[in-house]
Amino acid sequence: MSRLEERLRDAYRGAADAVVPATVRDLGEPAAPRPGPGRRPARWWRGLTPLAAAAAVTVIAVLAAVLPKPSSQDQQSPAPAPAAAPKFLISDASGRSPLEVRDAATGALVATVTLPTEPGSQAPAANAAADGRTYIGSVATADGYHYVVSLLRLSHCRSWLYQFQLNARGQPSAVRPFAVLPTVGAELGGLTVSGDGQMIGYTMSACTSSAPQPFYVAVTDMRTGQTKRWTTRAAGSLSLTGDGGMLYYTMNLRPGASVVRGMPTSAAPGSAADRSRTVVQGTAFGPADGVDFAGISPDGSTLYFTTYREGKFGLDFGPLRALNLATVRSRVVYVPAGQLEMVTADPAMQNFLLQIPQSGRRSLRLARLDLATGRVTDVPSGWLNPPGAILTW
Amino acid sequence: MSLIRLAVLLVGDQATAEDVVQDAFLGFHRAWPRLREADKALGYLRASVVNGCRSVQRARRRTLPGRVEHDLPVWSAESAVIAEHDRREVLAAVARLPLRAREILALRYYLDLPQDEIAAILGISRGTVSSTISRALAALGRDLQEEP
Repeated sequence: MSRLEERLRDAYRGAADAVVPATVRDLGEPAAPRPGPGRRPARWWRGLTPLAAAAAVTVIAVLAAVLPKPSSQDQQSPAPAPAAAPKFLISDASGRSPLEVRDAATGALVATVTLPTEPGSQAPAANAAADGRTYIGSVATADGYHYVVSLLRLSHCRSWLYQFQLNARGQPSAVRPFAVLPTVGAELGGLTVSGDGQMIGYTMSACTSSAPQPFYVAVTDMRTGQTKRWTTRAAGSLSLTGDGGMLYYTMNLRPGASVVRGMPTSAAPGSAADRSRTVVQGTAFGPADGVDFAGISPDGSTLYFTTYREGKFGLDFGPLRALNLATVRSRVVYVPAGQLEMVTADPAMQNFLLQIPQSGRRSLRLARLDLATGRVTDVPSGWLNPPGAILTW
Repeated sequence: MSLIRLAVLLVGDQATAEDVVQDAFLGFHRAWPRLREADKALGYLRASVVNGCRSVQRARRRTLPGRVEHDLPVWSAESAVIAEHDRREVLAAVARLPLRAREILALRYYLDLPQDEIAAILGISRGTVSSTISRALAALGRDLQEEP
């Protein structure tokens, strides 16, 4: 054997030895069987139980013969640590100021954030609820400490953005206008911030007398202040990759025409339809299924999303799925005993806050799903009344 | 584990490799009733994994430009998986080879399979395996400035 061949074998061994059982996903995690008729089982896991029975006996014995013996280094390799759970959540239960800062584990109120009554004013003043005309559009964060909030005034056709940050005890700083983009001459809908905190993405509808009103997805680069916008027929949930390089957004036009599209933020302004590409189609899961929530992992490799369909008593929201964008395969990552009415992901896309209606939507179960372990932990939710508040991690 | 490791060598990252192997086992389960010779099972699985990895590589070429599609490949300079520079240099040189050559080298030098078995897995002639290995080693030798 030549020296080159030896180097080749050694390099292969080095790369292969880095894969140890502790780092390999368990076949059964974290999906759970979903009861009820009409539910499509998780494609990824389908048939694994009989596989274990039929194939394991025959194949594993054969595999064992070719398995390299684990080295002592393998056995010492630690499993990857799960992402830290967010400490606080921001609740926008009333849609108006103040925002509530709550302990993410207990739901206990930690602090409130009062937003300006008069949009555009420098200092936060009295409770904007008394104003009666100013509403909170969206709240977004890249790290669970620095937040951006959009306020809009109905029939004013203008939105104002503010920023604040929490300290380690959840106490907010002063609320200040968002320096890069203090105001926009449109009604802002969704809002998202890239993981590096350098790019902000949003949806907005321009207020004109023409019908239909122009609708846009847009990004603003916080380093340069440059804004780009793309026209689109609709946009709902939106999410940026960690480096702000890709923007993903849901588009629900009608039953059977609901998609998630992905677009490089480097694309030239123009029509989003021309610059983006469909990565998820609701019809892949049912003839009239739509996509509700969509969030991209910071590294841009996995898109998490939920689907819904028309049910007898309203919309039936489906499981949480993950789409591997490299293999273009999706799998179910969580099936609740109920419906996922609202899903909020933390910036790392490792923890999901699930709002699961109970008893015919009369009450609500709030739960945190840790994707790394598959563990679901209930969060006290008595304060969430009525259900369906926008929560932000 | 050996199949996941083989897939990692071909696609570069573990998460994708696990998906490929999972699909291979699923396909194996579906084909099990039609598989008459049990001793062909491992060969079938290996072929499924290699084919799955090839599909991934093709899908990656079709996907959107300008975004990270998967974890950093083990041979990238930024990857912490392979600490030693020499190993990473070799794997980076392998990554620059054509896809078929990478498949054959992994089967030959990682799994130590004989050439006729590689030929059976990939559905090509033994001669093609032999000539591909020769050309791949020559290319690697040039790239790494080493005698093949």
